[in-house]
Parts: sequence; C-alpha cells; structure tokens
Amino acid sequence: MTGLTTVGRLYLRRHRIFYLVWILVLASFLPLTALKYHDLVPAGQAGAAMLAGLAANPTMKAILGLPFDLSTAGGFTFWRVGGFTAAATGIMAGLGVVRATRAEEEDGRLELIRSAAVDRHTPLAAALGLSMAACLVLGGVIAASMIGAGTPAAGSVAGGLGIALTGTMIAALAGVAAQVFESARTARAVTMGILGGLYLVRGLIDASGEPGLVRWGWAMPMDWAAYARPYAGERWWVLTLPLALTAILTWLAFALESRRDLGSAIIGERPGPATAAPGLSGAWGLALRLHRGGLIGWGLGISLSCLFMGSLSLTVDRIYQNQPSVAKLLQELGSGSSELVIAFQTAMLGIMTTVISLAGVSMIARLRGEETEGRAEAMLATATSRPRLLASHLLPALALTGLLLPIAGVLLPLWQAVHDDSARLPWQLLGAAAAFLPGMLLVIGLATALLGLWPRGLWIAWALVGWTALTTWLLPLADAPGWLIRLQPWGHLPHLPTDPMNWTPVLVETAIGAGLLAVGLIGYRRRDVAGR
Amino acid sequence: MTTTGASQPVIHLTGIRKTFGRTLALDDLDLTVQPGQIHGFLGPNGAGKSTTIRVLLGTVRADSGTARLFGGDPWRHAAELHRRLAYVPGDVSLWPNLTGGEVIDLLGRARGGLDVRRRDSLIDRFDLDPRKRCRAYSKGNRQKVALVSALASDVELLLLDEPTSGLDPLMERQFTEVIGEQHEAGRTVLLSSHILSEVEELCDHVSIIRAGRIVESGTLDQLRHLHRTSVSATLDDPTRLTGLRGTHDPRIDGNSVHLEVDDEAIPAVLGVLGEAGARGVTATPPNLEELFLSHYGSETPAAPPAPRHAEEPSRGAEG
Repeated sequence: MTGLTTVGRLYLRRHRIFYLVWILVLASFLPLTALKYHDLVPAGQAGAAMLAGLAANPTMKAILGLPFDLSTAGGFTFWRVGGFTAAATGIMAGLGVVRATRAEEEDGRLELIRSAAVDRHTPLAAALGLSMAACLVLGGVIAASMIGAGTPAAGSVAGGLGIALTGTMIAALAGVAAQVFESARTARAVTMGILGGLYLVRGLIDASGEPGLVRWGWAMPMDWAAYARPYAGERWWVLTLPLALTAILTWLAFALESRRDLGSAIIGERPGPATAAPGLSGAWGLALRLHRGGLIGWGLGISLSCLFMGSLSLTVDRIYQNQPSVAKLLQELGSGSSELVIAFQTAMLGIMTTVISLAGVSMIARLRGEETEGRAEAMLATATSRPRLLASHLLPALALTGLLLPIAGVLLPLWQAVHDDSARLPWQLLGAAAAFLPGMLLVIGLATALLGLWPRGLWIAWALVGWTALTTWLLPLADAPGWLIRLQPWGHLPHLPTDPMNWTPVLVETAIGAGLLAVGLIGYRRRDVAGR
Repeated sequence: MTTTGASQPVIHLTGIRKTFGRTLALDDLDLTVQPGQIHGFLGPNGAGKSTTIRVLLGTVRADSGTARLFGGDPWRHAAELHRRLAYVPGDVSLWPNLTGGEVIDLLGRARGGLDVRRRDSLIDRFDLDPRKRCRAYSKGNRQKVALVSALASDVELLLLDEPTSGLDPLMERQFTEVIGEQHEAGRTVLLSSHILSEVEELCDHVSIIRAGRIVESGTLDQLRHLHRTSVSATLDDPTRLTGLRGTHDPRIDGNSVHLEVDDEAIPAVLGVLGEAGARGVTATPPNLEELFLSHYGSETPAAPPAPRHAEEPSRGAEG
C-alpha cells in the first residue's frame, strides 16, 4: 500500500498525545487493583463469604460481568476492573479512528493526503493500524504490569489480549461508521452508542441469572474478554471471536470505502430547516442550541448513574458488615462516617461531584472553542455584547452543575430510602450536596477567570478536575497524607452529615468563586477576542 | 459622493497603532469613510486590513489612536453600534450543526433584524441551498451564507473582508451587481481586497494600506497614476519612444525598451511602435505587488520585503 509508512507516521505524530494519555490511564486500573487485593478481600472464611456475596449480586454482575474465580488476586481484579477497562479501551480505539478518518475528511485535510502519492485505502489503513497498535500496546502494558504485580503469566496475557481485542473490534466498527456517516459527530455517536448498547444488553443478560438467557452472553462481543476466563482456566480459543469480528469489520470498512466518493458517505445527511426557529435569534438562543445535547446528555447520564450506583447501597450493608478492613477503607473514602451506608453514599456523591464539575468546565471551554474557530467574533460583530456572550455559556454551566449536584444527592440514596421507608437519607444527602456547591462555583469560576484573562491556560481548569478525581478516587487507597487529599475544591468543605456544618470554608469558597467569576467577566470585556 | 462633505464620517480612524506581541500590525493608521461611499481597502496579504476591521468592530483594542464608528467608540459601545452594520469575515467559520438558513437568520436577528424577502431573493441569486448543514458547505458556500445574512440585514454599513475570495466568477458577477444595488440604496461599504481590478470595478474610493499604514487614499480618479500599463518592446531605435507625453521610467537595454504608460498615452505609444516596426510587444496591467514596489517601496523602510517575483522583468498578457 503506497505511502502507508508516511501517512502512519503523520497520524502517529498527530495523535500520539491522545493515545498516550488513554494508555497511561487505562493501564493503571488493573495493576493498582491487583496490588490492593489483599486489603480489599480479607483472608480465610470471612473473605470467601464476602466474595460469594459479591458474586451472587445481580447488580454487580450487570455492571462488571460474570464472575468466574474471585479467590485469586488476578481473577478478582479482572472481574472488578477488566470488563470496564476493555469497554474504555473500545472508547479510546473508536474515538481515535473517527478523529483520524471522518474528522480529517470533514476538515478537508484528508483530501490533501489523498492527493499525494498514496492509495485510496492508505489513510484508513493507517488510522486503523495506529488505533489497533495502541490497543495492543495497552494490552501488552497491562499484561506486563499484572505479571509484575505477582499474578500468573497466562492469566495476565489472556486478560491483556482480551482487553486489546475488544479495543480492535471497536476500532474496526468506528472504521465502518466513518464510511457510513457524513459527519464525524454522527460517526462518533453511532460507534459509542453501539458500544454502550452492547454493554447494557450484556449487563441485562449477565444479571438475569436465567441459564437460558445467560447463554446469549456468547453473542455479546463485550463479554468475550471475560469469557476467555483470564486467571480462571484460560480458554484461549475464545479470543478468536473478537479477532474474527475485527477482521470482518475491517474488511467491511475497506469495501465500503471503495464504494463512495471522498467527502461523501454511504448514508447522506438529511437536509435541515431552511429558516431558523423563532428562538434562535441571538446569543441566548444560540447557546441553548449549542448546549442542548450536552445538557440533556449530562443530565440523563448523571441521573441514571446515580440511580444505578445508589442501588448498590442496598447490598453494601450486608456484604461489608463483618469486614472491618473493608469497612475502614470505605469510611476513608466516605470521609470517616461511622455508618456504612452513609459512608458509601457520600463516597459516591464525591465521585459524582467530580464528574458534574467536568460537565461545567466543558461548557465554559465551549466558548473558547467558539473563539478559536472565529465564531465568537461572528457573534460579537452583531449587536451581542461580550458580557452577554459570556453569560450565555456561563449561566447554562452554572445552572446545570447547580441543579445536578442536589439531584445527585437525592437520586443516590433513593433506592435505600424506598427500602428503609424513610426520607431521612435523601434529606441528609441533599444537605451534603448543597454544602458542596461552593466547590462547583470555585471550579467554574476558575475556568471563567482563565477564559477572561489567559484563555490559553484553560487547561489548568481541566487539570484541576483531573487532580480532584485523583484525590477522590485513588489517593485515599494509596494511604496519602490527609492534607494532600484535602488539597482540592471539595477538600475543606464540610462533608455532611459526617462532619458538623462549618460555615467558614463554605463562605470563603463562595467568595473566591464569585470573585473569580467577576475577574473572568471583567477580563473578557477587556481583552482582544481572536478571529480566524 | 465627495470626500469634503459636511456630514459625519461613518468610519474615522486617526493614528491607530496596534501590536501583537512584538509584531507591529497597525502603525499610525488613518482612515476616513464618508456615508454612501463604496470604499475599497486595498493592500497585500498581511498589510493589516483584517486588523483594521477588527479595531472597527471593537473585537481588538487599539494601543493608541482614536477610532470612531458612526461617531461612537467601537470598543466601548460595540454592541449598540453593531446594530447599524454587518460584517463578513475573510475566513468564514459557521456552526457545523446549524443549517445555512438558520445561520443567516441567527446572525441577521442578532444584528437587530433582517428583510425576509431580500433574504430569499439573495439565496436565490447566490444559488445557495439553505437546508444544508454548515459542515457540508465549501468555503465559497460558507462565504455566501455570511454574505446573504449581511446583505439582507437592515444596516447602514457593510464591512466586507475579502468577500469574493471563495466565489466563482459567476457568483462574483452577482456580488458586483448586489453591491451596486446597495450603493443605490445609500449604504456605505468598506470592502477589503488584495485584488486591484476588483476594487476598481466596485469602488468609488480607495485607501491603500501597506505594512500597517495608509499610503494613499482618494477617489479612483485621484489614483489614476496607479493605472499605468507596463510596455516592453524591441525595435531598432528605442529612443523614439522616450520623451512621449504620458510615458514614465524608460529603461533601454540594447534594442529593447521598457516603460510605464498612462492610459491616455497608450494610443500614441502604440502608434509609434507600429511605425517603427516593433517586435515582441507586451503590455501588462500593473499587478499589485509591482505597484507597491514602484510607488511605496521606499516610503516604508520597516516593511517586509516584497515578493520576489515582483522584481522579475514584467510578464503577463501579450499586447
């Protein structure tokens, strides 16, 4: 294939950071969990009882997949985070392929490449090759690190391969979607939708417990990595299933590419409205239109996740009651609550808070994207003032995060409240969520201030969210010092109901957040707004 | 249409200076546009045309100098002043998920209103499909979307930054006609361009910018000297051409001669060439780079070097 190495090197150069970050993050889950196995699962009879409880829990099966052998560090680890890592690898591979194929084509760069001395299929081959190579590298790193963590080599290799091949299937699927759909956005959405749908159906099947239904798990590509049974009597031949599907989809992608013109797609885009709806009349109408999908998506996603995660609470009590070490760990995550259910709920609320703040930052970052694309200038050249343009993105961000956080507080303990027939827990969690609001204001304030004063530094706001995730999810497990864990927007706020209410940090963070918002607004009025 | 009118100028820039980091983009720039003018804003790429327009829009703040738009300060009162103007950027970027028709309406309404009948007729004349998503438009079609929205808006001033750079010749024709209609309707137009012939065809006034400065400004007649034609020929006695009225800068090299000729003098020069039995006659309309080199090259020592091909002997259409 002419030019494959050249195009491959170009794509590697363009997407190396993307893949590097994904690989580093995804490679960490398995070895970290394996190293923590002996802290999580106590030795002897108690541990066995706990694992039996976990293995029988339908919710856990739905989220994580079928458990095969949880009695070893490797088997437990692959069940606990292996399926999740495999799905996330699929996300990496799929997004990576779309951004190197349909997105490049949409922006007109593919035409430049195709006009050079390369074959018709070279760019697609390079994009698929790079994505699949990244999956295999990730699988290799996981296998090596699991061997390093002391788990058996055969299981480590089987697990790494299962994860890698799940990724290559989705890479090939994205390659097909990039041929079928005209916009990168649609190709991405369809790929991720199929991936999510397969994961969901797999969860329903695995949780059903009906032998007749569970057999259908074999038809579920997202189950294949687990069905290869890493650390539980490896069935190597199962790995030929994802390999075969990868090959079929790859062939299909190339076949479809031969049947279409550059820039077109198998399914053309439907025409849209010739005139704008009455609401689309200025900065507010535009911002609402731009954020509509995000508002609905984040709102639904967070709400459903809260209901799902909250349902686990019902089994927490039963499983962990007799496990002092696990209970202690959970209490650390949940800021030291003595009551296990509350500890679990506040720990989940902490995770959700970080995710919600991510939504807020992404909405502010949208305005920066509008600026670098020259579209902010187009709006500012109309009778739209700068404060109005900024507010049209800022207020949806504040509204979304300010509403979702209390909603999460109510939805997380909902099942538990129904079970207990008491509204005490939702009220407590609502209070806990309300006490977290100043942290949200602080994060969005920081993003706004950066946008107003130093737009290139907007990555700092993203980094803050990343750091918060690290301190919330990983540092407590790593026995990091308390001051370091608290060094984040929600670290010094009172964690109700375990902590007593403390107004000082609440007021201080509210003031800082409001101050940062003001700085951002003033800065955005005073600086040059870039055009294209 | 006179520059000495008593009415308030639509655009009045004095002593505008703007730096981006170490780059000096505008250097003591003065520009005045009177109501009703179709004002060509001519200069090579990178001369500061877009930056000037951005100062006028108030998206970029001048380091020093005074900017007045309809008599108001474009930096402090941008939003109010923008009700009276429409802007078409040189590189149009649109919202990928919106259709062209939606963007036309959105921008028009954001300016304060648009004439729906004119919008529909312009869509027709520019042969634009308003139902397509913007991501699917070519550069020329994106430009049409921005143009239709601007031209259909009820505004007094049009700021057009290289508006024809993506249009095909048929559409350029349409554009020329539409601008003529806008002129008759009494609107003011500032049209930036790096193409001399386009400005000549459309505009009654021209300001020429080079390296962040206005080097020449006036009516097209006042800038007639820009309109010399380069003539080269080979003949036995080259000196017969020198000294003719309306010829400039003669250069003689053996039997070949090269000189600049005013439009009125062309018949006389051609007559002499015919009588003398000249061979290899070429007459080339001046290209912008050559104009800049010959007229303004020495006035702005800080200017970037002119493109190399401007120094080559003249070439182009055979006369």
